[in-house]
Order: sequence, then C-alpha cells, then structure tokens
Amino acid sequence: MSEIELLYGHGDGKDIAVSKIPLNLEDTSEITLKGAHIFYVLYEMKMSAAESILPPSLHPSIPALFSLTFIRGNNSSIGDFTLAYTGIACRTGIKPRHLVMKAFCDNLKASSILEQRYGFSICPAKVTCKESYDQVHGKIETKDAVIVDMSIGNCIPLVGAGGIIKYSPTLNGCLINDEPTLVQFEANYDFKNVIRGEPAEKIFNSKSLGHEAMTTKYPIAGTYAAVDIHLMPPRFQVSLDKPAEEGGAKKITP
Amino acid sequence: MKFGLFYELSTPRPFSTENQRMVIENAIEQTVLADKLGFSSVWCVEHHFLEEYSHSSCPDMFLAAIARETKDIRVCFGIGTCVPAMHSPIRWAEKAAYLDMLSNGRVEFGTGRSSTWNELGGFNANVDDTKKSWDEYCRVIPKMWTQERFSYEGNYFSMPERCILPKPVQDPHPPMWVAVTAPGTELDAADRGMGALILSISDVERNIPRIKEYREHIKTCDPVGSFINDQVAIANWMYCHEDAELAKQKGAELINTFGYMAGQTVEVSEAYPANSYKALGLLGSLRQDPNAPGDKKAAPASGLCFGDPDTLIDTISRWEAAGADQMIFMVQAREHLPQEKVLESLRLFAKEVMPHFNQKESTVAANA
Repeated sequence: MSEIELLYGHGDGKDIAVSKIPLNLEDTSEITLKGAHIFYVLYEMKMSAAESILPPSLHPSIPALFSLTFIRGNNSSIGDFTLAYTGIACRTGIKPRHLVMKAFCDNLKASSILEQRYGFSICPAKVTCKESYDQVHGKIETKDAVIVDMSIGNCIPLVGAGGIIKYSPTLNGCLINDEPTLVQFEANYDFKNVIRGEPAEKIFNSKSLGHEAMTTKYPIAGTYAAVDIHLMPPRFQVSLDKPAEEGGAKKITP
Repeated sequence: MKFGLFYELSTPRPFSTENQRMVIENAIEQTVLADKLGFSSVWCVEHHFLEEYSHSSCPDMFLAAIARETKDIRVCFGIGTCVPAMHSPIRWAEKAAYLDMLSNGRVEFGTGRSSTWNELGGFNANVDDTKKSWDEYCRVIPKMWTQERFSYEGNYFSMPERCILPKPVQDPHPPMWVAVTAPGTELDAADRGMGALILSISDVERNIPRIKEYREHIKTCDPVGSFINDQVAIANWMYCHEDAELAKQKGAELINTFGYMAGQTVEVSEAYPANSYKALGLLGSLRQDPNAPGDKKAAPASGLCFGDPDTLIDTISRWEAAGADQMIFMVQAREHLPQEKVLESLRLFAKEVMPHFNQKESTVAANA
C-alpha cells in the first residue's frame, strides 16, 4: 500500500474566534455549576463547508455537524449567567470534539472567568434559555439584533440520561505563549433529567453565529438537561496546523 | 471450538476503483484460502455511509461471491440490519434463502439494528424504535422461511398472505444470531434463542459473566425460530506469526487502524440521544477519554489473538474455557497489512493452532 490518505480540514483559521486574553493555567481548581441547565441543538451541515472551516489539525466528523449550546448557571460560584456558543463537530485523533466558532454571554464577570480559565472568546449579548410547559426556548440578542430565536418542541423524557447523552468537549481558540492554540474545554456532568425535542427556528443568523454554512436545513435533535456541571481545568491543547497523529495534541503542563 | 473470518471491508482513501476492488478481491482470496484450510465460517457486516471503516453495504452480494468459490465454509450475515427504513423483512428472508440455495445450505443469519447516526440518520430511520422493529423482524423472518404462505400484522411491518420464495435449503431454516456490542444485548439474544456474536476487544475474563448469563437465560428462552441456536461466537482480531513480538506489534497497528476508522463515525448518543441506545457501544468504549492527565494508556486486551502459535493456543484456550464456541477473526484493517502477510498468517494459524483444537474435539468425540 502506498501512504494512507487521511481526511483533515483545510481552513486557514480565519473563521475561528481566538481569545486575546492570555489563558490562566495556574488556577487548576474545579468550578461546579450546581443546578445548571444545558440546551443543546445539533444540525448537519455540508462536508465541504466543514472541511473549509476546520484547520489542518482537525478531522471533520462524518457526517459534518454543528451544534448550538446554551449553558445556564444560576446561583453559581461565578454568578448568574447564560453562555451560548456554536461549534463544528470534529476530531483530534479519534476523539470527538466541537470547534467553537462564536460564544456569547450575558454576564461580564462570568465571561471573564470563562475566557481566562477555558479560552472562550466571548461576545457580550443578552442570552436567554428558558423552558415552558412543552417547549424550550433559546435566544441570543447582540446590541445590533436578535441573531437566534429558536426552540424545541414535541419533547419526550430520556431515561437514564447519563448513559444516553454525550456532549463532546469543545476546542476554544486562545493564546498560549502568544501562539494561537486550541484548548480543550471539558466537564463532568451529573444529570438530573433530560428531555429531547424537535428544533424549530424563528431567527437563526448563521453568519453572526460564526459561519454562513451553519444553516438549519438538516436539524437532528435538541436536548435540554438539568445537570450539575463540574468544569475541569484545561488538560489538552491542540495545534492549529499539526494533527494529533503527528503530535499536534498534547497535555497542558501549567 | 470453530474458527471463522469477519469482514468489514474497510477501504483506504482515496476511494478509487482500484482501492475498492482490491479490498473486495483480497477478502475473497483470503476466504477461499480459509475454506481450504478448514475455517468454518465467513461473516460479513452490513454498513452504510461509513467512509473508510466499512464499505460493506451489500453483504449478501459479497457472500454470494464467496459461496460460489468455496465448498464448505459457512456464509454468514454479520449482520443484516433489521430497520424498516433500510430493509423490509421480506427482502431479508428472500436474500438469505437465495444465498442458502447458492451455497447449498451454508447460511447463518445474523441480525442487528445499527448504532450510528451516519446510518440511521442517512436512511431517515426512526431511532427510537429500532429495538422494537429488530424484535419484530427476528420473529417474522424464520416464519417466512418455514411457512408455505405467510401473512402478518405488526407494529412495524404488515403484509397480506404471500408465498415468500425461495425457501432455504436448510431444514428447518438457517441459524439466527444477534450482533452484540453493547453490554446486555447477549441477553436479548439468549431470551430469543439466538446465537450471540460478541464483538470483543477486551480481556477474556471480562466476558465470562456475559457468557454465563447468556447460557442461563437461553435455558428458559422463547425461541424466535424453529430451534434454539445456543452458540457464542467471539469476534476479535488475529495475526499469527512465528515472531510473537512482531505479531503483537502488527496486531496493535491493526487495532489502532480500526480505532481510527471507527472514530470517524457519529454514535447515536452524540447526535440523537434515545432511550433505545442506553449503553456505550464498541465505538464509545474505544475512544473514552483518560480520566486524569497522569493516566497511562491501557495495556492491550488479553483476549486479542496476536502472537505466535503457542500464544494463540493459550489465548483461545482461555476463550474456550470461558464458554466461547467459535472465534471469528478480523485479519485486516484498511489493507494495513500486505495481502501475502495475511495469507501467511492464516496458513500458520491453520497449521499450528487449529489442529490443537480439532484434536481436542476428536478426543472429546472419541470419549463420548
């Protein structure tokens, strides 16, 4: 056999939000968000678009997917906040990840901690995530306009959620030693209950959410979970241009 | 103890005609040799849209080609997907019976339901109902083979009375199996009187409780077919070489290649969480993250059949003691090994390892 051809992204990184705030790797304490909620919606997208966005260090998932996630942390140690972000599904080596394209948060103090500790590049916005009798709604409003107004409906409960639902860790663009790097944001989840529903969108401004290729033409599902979230200190960093197979993913040493 | 081969037909990029044909032709050549060497079965998966990992969308056609080039080896669906969006159960009954004709009664019919979003989403299948539709398929297919005319009204499939043709050669019908990746599925097999085809990359000891429970459950089963297929087949990898260390190294390369390809698929739990997919499948266990930065990479599982003949005799003896009736081997991954090396491995295994178990079988028979 000749050398095996592998599948990688070929984006130049210009679409990836990179936080300008230096990552604080000294603080390795865990943050727990008790009584939090996660609203997570997944869509398929064109493979050619995912390949053109992802950098050469990452494989696109097959099929190509992107997610919109809301995390609502009430009464948390970092304040009351709602964080929302979009991510394109990818892999480092064989591990599934989501490359964060854009992130939004409604609390400046929480934003600052999420940027310093986990590498999110966050835009201030009014972010809401709330449940009603039979629906869950998510909304993101920047100073210019509402860029997302969507919901899930026809919800059903999922039993034994811990074994059923899986969130991939995200990769956040940030600076380590002044080098643009992807840092892995991950958490442990203690689920209380989860429902799954069908996504529907009133407003979904793909461009404002990171890339116009992230359209809602092929929705997969949305879930809403009541969960305690344990945010873990970053453990891995990923190069923008070198795949994991060539040493592009490595453990972070503070 | 019987031995077989298992094919995913994993294919390297680019997906050129040359590469795709090479994979199929090499697999057929291996199987023809295996038939002559005394291997008892060849199994072929059904997968769709799984780039690199498996280009085996039509196992019936692959097995038909095998059937006409071999004499004794059994041709086995490993598995046929029992999901309404992909197949009608009528078509599975017809295809398996047709293959039974072509092979003169050498078919085994494995069943399953798929665990990837790639496949279920691609066919717009109802993810929540795959377990229930699988159950219905398992119960109607044997009746389609054995009843002259068949009619049915069910939840996922209905049909007016028809004569489903051809009928299989085997009397009463081909043995029924279930593919087992998620823990607990072996009990689904046992409760229905079906064989358990357990895909295992783990240690032998971890499977002992599963096999014991299978044997207990099948004693009180409600068989879906006309007979109980009380069989446990373990599917894992084999590479046999006189140099044990080289064999282990090549084996590790095969596993890594398999893991890389499997890692490209999207599990149901990643995309469409559902009550019908509670446990992590094979893929999930392959790519679990280490728990802490200091975690060491796990040692290779002791149940894998990589090594020199003596090592393999020891490993397979432990599987035999654990209760396995058959070992079904994957011998290639994305054409990582040169074809001649795969054939050499099969020859060495047949010469040095198989006689040990055949001899034991003869001794048991003589003492019976």
